[in-house]
Amino acid sequence: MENIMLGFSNVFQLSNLLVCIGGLFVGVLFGALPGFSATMAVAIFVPFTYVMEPGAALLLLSALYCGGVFGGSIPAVLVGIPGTPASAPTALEGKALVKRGEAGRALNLVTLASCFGGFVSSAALLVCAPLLAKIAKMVGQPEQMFVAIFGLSVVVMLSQENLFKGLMVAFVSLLLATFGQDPVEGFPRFTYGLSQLTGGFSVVPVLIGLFSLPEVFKMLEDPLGKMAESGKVGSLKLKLTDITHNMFNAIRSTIIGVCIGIIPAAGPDIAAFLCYNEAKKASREPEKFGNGSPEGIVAAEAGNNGVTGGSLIPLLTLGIPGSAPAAIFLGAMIIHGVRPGPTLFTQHAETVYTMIIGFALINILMYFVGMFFCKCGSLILVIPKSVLATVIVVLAVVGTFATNKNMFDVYVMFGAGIIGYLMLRNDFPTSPVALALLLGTNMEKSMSLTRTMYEGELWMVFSRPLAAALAVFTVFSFVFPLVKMAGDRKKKQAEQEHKGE
Amino acid sequence: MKRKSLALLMAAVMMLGAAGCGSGKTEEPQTEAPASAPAADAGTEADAAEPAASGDGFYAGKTVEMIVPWAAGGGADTACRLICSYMEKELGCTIVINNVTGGGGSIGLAQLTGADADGLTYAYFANTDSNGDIMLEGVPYTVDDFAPVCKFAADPHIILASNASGITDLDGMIAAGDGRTLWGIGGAWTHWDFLKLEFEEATGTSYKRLVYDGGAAVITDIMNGDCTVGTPFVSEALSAIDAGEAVPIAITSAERNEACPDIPTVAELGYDGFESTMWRGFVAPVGTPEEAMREFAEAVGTVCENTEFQQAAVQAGVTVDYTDYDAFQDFYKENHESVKTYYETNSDM
Repeated sequence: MENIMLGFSNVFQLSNLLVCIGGLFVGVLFGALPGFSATMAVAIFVPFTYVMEPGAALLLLSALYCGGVFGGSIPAVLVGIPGTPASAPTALEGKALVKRGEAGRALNLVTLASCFGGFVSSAALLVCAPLLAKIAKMVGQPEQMFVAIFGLSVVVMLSQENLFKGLMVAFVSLLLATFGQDPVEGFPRFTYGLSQLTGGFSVVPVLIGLFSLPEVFKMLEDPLGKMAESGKVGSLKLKLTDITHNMFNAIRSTIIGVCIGIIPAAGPDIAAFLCYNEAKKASREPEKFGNGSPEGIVAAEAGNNGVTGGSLIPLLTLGIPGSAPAAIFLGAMIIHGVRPGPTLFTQHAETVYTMIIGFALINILMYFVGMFFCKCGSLILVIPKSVLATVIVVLAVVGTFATNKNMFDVYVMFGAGIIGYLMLRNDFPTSPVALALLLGTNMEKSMSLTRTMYEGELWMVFSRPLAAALAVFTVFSFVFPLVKMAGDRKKKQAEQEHKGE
Repeated sequence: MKRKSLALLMAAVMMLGAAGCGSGKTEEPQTEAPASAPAADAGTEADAAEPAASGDGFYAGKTVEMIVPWAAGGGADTACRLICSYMEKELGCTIVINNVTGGGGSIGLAQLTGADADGLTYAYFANTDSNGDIMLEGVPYTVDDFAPVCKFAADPHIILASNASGITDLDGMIAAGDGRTLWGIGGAWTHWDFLKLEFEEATGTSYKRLVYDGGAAVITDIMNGDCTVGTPFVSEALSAIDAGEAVPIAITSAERNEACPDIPTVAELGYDGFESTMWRGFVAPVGTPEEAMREFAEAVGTVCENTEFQQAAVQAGVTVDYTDYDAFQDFYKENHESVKTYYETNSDM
């Protein structure tokens, strides 16, 4: 308790508050620019933190992390380009909202949902970290395998209008995910003698190309633009019903987000898709999803921000990073002599509690910083399309190159963009590509590990309670949309017959 | 007080950066942050004792590019940034860290071999890198394209056993070496694999290879009992050992480690001469003037004797172990041959 109070007083020091706010500004910016991500923001600023005190350093990194995860949603709503893959589901809704002139309201809702998700996850970190750490320890390879398959089931839900096309895209993308060395023997597959393909396609360049460039090409089709028509941001004000309608949705999504955060291999992107999926299942108006549903964006954003705190739980308690940015946190903490693990809460209590309390505060401050960016961001719609298109291409190229300092990635990005545009024009959904690429490699790794562990007695996997439960969920998740579709069709038939009479 | 004002300054710099980007301009993110950042912390005391070295050598006033073929924030990057921050003072130059990632480290090293051999480009190098052309596909360089400079660290692994396995010492572990016990590997054909082969050869045992993606995943599975033994690095393993979630069996260096002096070495438990560490060093493009490389290597040597650096290294989980220019030439060749033999006899390719 004493340490918590000490944490409070540390966080509210002027210099630390400034660090939080500065970190948020930079983080949101990194998240908002397509091509720049939360992971990158954290990685770039790690060397800067060496000169700071451990507490301040961790606050800065936390602010960058939270801001980065949130920032991706701003362009997702405004121009339908997710700033980070974690906002891809949000981008599915953004366009329609702008057309209806509800973008302002949506931005406010997104900001609120993000802060809610982040805040609750930091509360989880403060209150039940030791308990949740126990769950984290139960998650082994078989469990991760089922989480990945479960995640893939979202494809079925995302492509209900055209299941055939959706599944086709997903399977081809899963094949793409096998490019590069196999995880066990290091045998090069589909590398065509290119050393650049040794590690397979980097997911980030593919996703940058796939999500940003098609929008740019669409702008080029109509260079003079119907800006006047689509340029309405609308009021930023929320209605009370917006909050009451989405309360339960936000809570559910946050819980999913925190749980996904705890699992080592799955990050904010997977959480966003899963939450979006669950929200669609639970919604009373699922037909609105994809046509500007506020529920969809609330779910995705509460979910991906829920990951932030969740991914720090196994990191702080066990020293196991729960996401890519958390892995960089680990490195920074070790450099500062603050080694995560059980001794952390006794030996470095002051630093840790400063960080956790700061994490909660950062998520509150994020609302104000976020609203500031939303207001500035809405100016994007006033920018002529020709300029906007150029800026997006430049950002995408720079961002792609900066990730690995590798020109090959830039070519991959352009290739993905052109394919993405062709897909868009022929009504192929692009989000299954993101899911399959993000989950494919993890699924393969955990599957091959599980196979080695349970060689010759694979059914023993189901003796693990968590794995068995996840397997049941997975089957349900694949079957549910099909059953529902069949049900809908019957209803329609019945109605038609009724009319016929 | 000084630190706080620095922190404030950083915040101010970042705000400025934010304002700059906000107006539609793009700044290339500074992954290449000068390595001097960590040193500023310790700068005050070092200033007084600074030797005249930063005067008139080959490197004085120049800018050196250090290619790290791994991502910023990882183990290789951390170790490299740490030593380079001290090197800058020693050589009186600026060292820019450039993280060129991808292709299992081969992209960055290919960039090095294509660079001018003017003594101003170096790259971080470790055990298996010289065999890139055999182990990876499409790698444009061979062992002869590098000029070995020196080695600055050799990180030992700690052999860990899971609590559930009931293994508590090396004898127990050897008794379990019947080909069915699971041995977690942190990545296919990284040093983890070679350590396993060396251990099996020395003790006449055999274990089942279980290949993970990184050391953290191995430790997680040792903690929950899915994996029986594994060999994480010291900095990775200590949390789990402190928590009593895993049993330390032995350490793979020739001598005990400062960070965990209670853990015995494999050698002292009856396998004389057993040593298997992941070394970290530097290489230059072939054709680089020998004098420049010697000066660089000597500076590394001086830094490795600096107690302040040694303390920082222990904290960062880096085990300092310097090999000078002359000794490293042979070491480099021997290491190359040994890795090559192990790989060719044990991989199915």
